[in-house]
Amino acid sequence: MEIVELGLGEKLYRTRTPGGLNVAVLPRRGYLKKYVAVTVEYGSIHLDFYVGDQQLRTPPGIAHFLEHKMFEKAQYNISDRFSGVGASSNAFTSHTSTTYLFSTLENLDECIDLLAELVLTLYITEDSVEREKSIIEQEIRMYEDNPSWKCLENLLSSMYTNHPVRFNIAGTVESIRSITKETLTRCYERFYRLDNMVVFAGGDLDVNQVTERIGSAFEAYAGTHGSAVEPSFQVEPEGVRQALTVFQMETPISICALGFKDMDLGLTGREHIMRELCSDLLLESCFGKSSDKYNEWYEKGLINNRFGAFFLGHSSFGTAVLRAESMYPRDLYSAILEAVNVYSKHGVPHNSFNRLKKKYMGSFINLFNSLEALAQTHNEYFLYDATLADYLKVLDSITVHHVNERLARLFREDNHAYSIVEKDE
Amino acid sequence: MAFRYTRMCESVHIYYDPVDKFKTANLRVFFVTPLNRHTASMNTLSSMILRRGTKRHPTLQKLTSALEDLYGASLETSTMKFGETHVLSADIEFVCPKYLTEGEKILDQFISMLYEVIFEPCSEGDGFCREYFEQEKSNLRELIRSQVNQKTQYAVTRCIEEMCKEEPFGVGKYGKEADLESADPVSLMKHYTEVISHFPVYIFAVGDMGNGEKPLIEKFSRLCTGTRQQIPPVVSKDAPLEVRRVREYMPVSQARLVIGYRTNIRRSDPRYAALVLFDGLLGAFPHSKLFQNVREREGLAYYVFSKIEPIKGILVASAGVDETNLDRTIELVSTEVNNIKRGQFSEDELEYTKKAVENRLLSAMDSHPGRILSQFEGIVSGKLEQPEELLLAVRRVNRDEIIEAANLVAIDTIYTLSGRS
Repeated sequence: MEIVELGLGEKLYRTRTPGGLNVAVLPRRGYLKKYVAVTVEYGSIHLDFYVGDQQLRTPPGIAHFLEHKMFEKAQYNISDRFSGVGASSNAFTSHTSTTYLFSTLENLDECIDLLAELVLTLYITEDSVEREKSIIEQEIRMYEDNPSWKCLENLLSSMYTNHPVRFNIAGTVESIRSITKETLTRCYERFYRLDNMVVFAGGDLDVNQVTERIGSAFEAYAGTHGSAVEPSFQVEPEGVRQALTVFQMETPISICALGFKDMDLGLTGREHIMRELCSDLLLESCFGKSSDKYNEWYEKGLINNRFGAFFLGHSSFGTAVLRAESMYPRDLYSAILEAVNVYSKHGVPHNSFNRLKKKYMGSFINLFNSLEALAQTHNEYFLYDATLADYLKVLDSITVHHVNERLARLFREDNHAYSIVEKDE
Repeated sequence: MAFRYTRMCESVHIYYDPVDKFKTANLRVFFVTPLNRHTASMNTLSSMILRRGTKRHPTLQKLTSALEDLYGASLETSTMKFGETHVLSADIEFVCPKYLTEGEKILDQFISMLYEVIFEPCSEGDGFCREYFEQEKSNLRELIRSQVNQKTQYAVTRCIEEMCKEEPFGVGKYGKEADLESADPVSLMKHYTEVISHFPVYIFAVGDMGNGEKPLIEKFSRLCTGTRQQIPPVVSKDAPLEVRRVREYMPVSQARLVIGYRTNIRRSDPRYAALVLFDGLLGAFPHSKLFQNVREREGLAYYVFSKIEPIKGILVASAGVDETNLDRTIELVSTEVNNIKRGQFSEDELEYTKKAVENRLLSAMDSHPGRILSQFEGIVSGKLEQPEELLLAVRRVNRDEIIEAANLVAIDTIYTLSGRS
C-alpha cells in the first residue's frame, strides 16, 4: 500500500488490485457517515470507439442512459438493497466520466459489495430500456426549462464542430429513442472494466479493512468483461463553429456565456493541475469578484453577483467559460472582448496574484471538510494521473509568467463564442 | 454533538460547537424577525447592501480583496425563511487558525470582518450609501423576477404562496417587488437598525476557533444594549373544506405539479416523529412510494418527492411530468397517501424509512450548516432536542402512530404549472 502525504496531517492510502482496479482511502476521524464513490472513465463524450478495426458510433446520451440502467438487477433494483442496509446511493454522469456512490452510517462491508455489484453486473431487458426512455425524456425536459442550462448547452455546441462535448450529457429526446439493449450492453462490456475505474472511500474507517473489502468485492467480478477499447475523437479545428448564438425563451433576465476554446490538450499529472490552476487564476484575476472589471461592470449594472467564470478541462477538450445574467447581454459581450484585448496587451493584473494564491490555498484546505468533494476531486484527478498531493506544490510553483502564458493561449481572437438566451421580444 | 450555550443577555444567545473534525470554522449571526410581506423585502435588500462595503472596506472590491487575503474566507449576508420567521443572517467561514502560519492571532481578523459587515455598513448621513441602495434594489428586483427560472422550486413557492395567502407563511423569502418602491436609503437604514437592535439574536459558532466563544462574546457585547422582542408563535390553520385548485400557464417543456397538505403537526408536537416517517414512506427517499410508483412503475416522472416544513407543519408533494399526465399523477399521489392512511405499507418499507431518516439526521452532523440549522430548527420550534433524541423518538414510533399522523394529513391546494392555455 502506498501512503501519500497530503499535508494538514491528512494521508491518502492507495493500492492497485491484481485486476487493475485503483483504490484510494482517506480516513477522516470523527465523521459519522462513510462515503464511497467509484468513477468509471466513460462519460458523454465517449461516443466513438474502436473494437478491433471496427469503429463504433453510439448515440448521444448513451453513457447517462447506461448509468440509469445499472441500478436495475435481475429481480430487484439495487437502490432498494442499499436502502435495506440503511445506505443512500446515487450516481451522476459528466462529460468525461460516470460516478456511482453511497453514503452510510453502518454496514459498510455490505454496501461495498453492493457497489461492486452495481457497476460490475448488467441485467437489462428490452422492456426496461423502453420504460427508461420516458423517465429520461422527463429529465431532459426538466433541464430544457432552465435558461442557464440551455445557455451553456448552446455555447458548447456552438464552439465545437466535431468533438462530442457539443452534445448535451443526457442527449436529446430524439437521440435516446434510438438507444437499444444491444448498444447499451456493448458499451457496458467495453467500458465497465476494473482497469477503467477508480474507487475512493472516505470517513472514519479502518484503512486496511476497507481496502481489502473493496479489493475482494470488485475482484470477484474480474475477467467478466471484454477487452479494453480506445475512445476515438475526430480532429477538432482550432476555431469555433459559430461565434454568436441567440436563443429565445421565456426568461425575465437574459442569460449569457462566453467560452474560450483551449487547444493545450493531452496533459497529465502535474501539467494537468498546472493547466487547471493557471486557467482558474487567469479567470479570477481578470474577471473575479475582486477584479477591476467585475467591479466596473457590477456598478454599471451590466452584471449581478451571479457573474462568474470556470474552466472545464479534459485531455481531449478545454473551455474557459464566463457566465452572466444581464439586462444588456450585447453590451457585456463588447465589454468582455474589449477587456480581453487590454489584458492580452498588458498581461494579467499583478497586484492580486499572491492574494488569489492564498485564496486557492484556503479552498484546498476547505476541500477536506466534504467527503463528497474529496471523492470527486480525487477521482477526477486520477483520470489524468494527477494526485491531490500535487495541488499545493503546483499552486506554490505558479508565477505570473505561467498565468500570462495561459493567457496568450486562451484569450485569442479566433477561439471564442458567445451564447445568449433571451426573451422573445 | 453538543453546543455549549451562553446567554449573553435577554434574547442574545451564543451556541458554540467546538467540534474539531473540520478544517474550517463557521460563524453565523441570526437576527430573527416575524415573517411579513413588507419587511421580507426590506430585510433582503439590507442584507444585499451589507455585502457591498463597510467603513473600513468601503467597496465590494476592497471587501472582497480583504477576504481573499484571509485565505479566501467566505462572507455571506442573506435572508432565510424559517417557519414563520424571517431571519437576517450574516456568516463567515474561514480556515481554522491552527492550520495557518499566523496562528491564533488571525482569529480576531475573521471575527472583525463579520462584525464590521453587520455593524459598520457604508453609510451617507442617516442612510445607506445611495449608490449601493439603488444598485441592490435593482438587483433584488431581478432576483425576485428570475425565481421563475428554477421551475421546480418556483412551483413549490407558488403553491405555498396560494395555500397560505392569509398567513405569514405565504410570504416568499425575498418579499414582493412592489414593496421595494417605497423604500429609500434612510428608511431602510432605520429598518435595519431596528432589526439588529430589537429582535432576538442567535450566534452560532462551529469548528475549532482556538480560544472558544470568549472572543465572540467580547466582540459582540454591543448586542446587549436595549430590549429585544420574542419570536412570534406560528399561526395554525386547517385545510379548507374544498380543495383549492390553482392552475398557472407559461411556455414550459415539462409540467410541474405541487400538492400542498396541512398536517398541523409541528416539530414540537409529540407526533412529529410519526409525521417524519409518514413523509419518508410517502416520498422523501428513492425507496418511497412516490418514487417507486410514479417514476419506476409508471415511468411518468424523473423527479417526484415529498417534503415537510417542520416548523409550520406543512407537507408538499412535487413532480415534473408531461402535461397530459398531470391528472394521472395527482391521482397516483392521492392513492399513495391514502394507502398509508389505511396502513398499507410493509414492515420492510417502515424499516428502510427509519434507517433512511437516521442516515439523514446524522449525516447532517458532518457539515457546518447541517449542525447549525438542525440546532436552530429546534430553537425556533420551541423544542430544543438533539438529533439523537429525535432519532430515538423515530425508532420508537409504531405503525398505529404513523396511521394516526397520516390521517391528520389533509390536502389543501393543488398547484399546476403547464403550457396549455
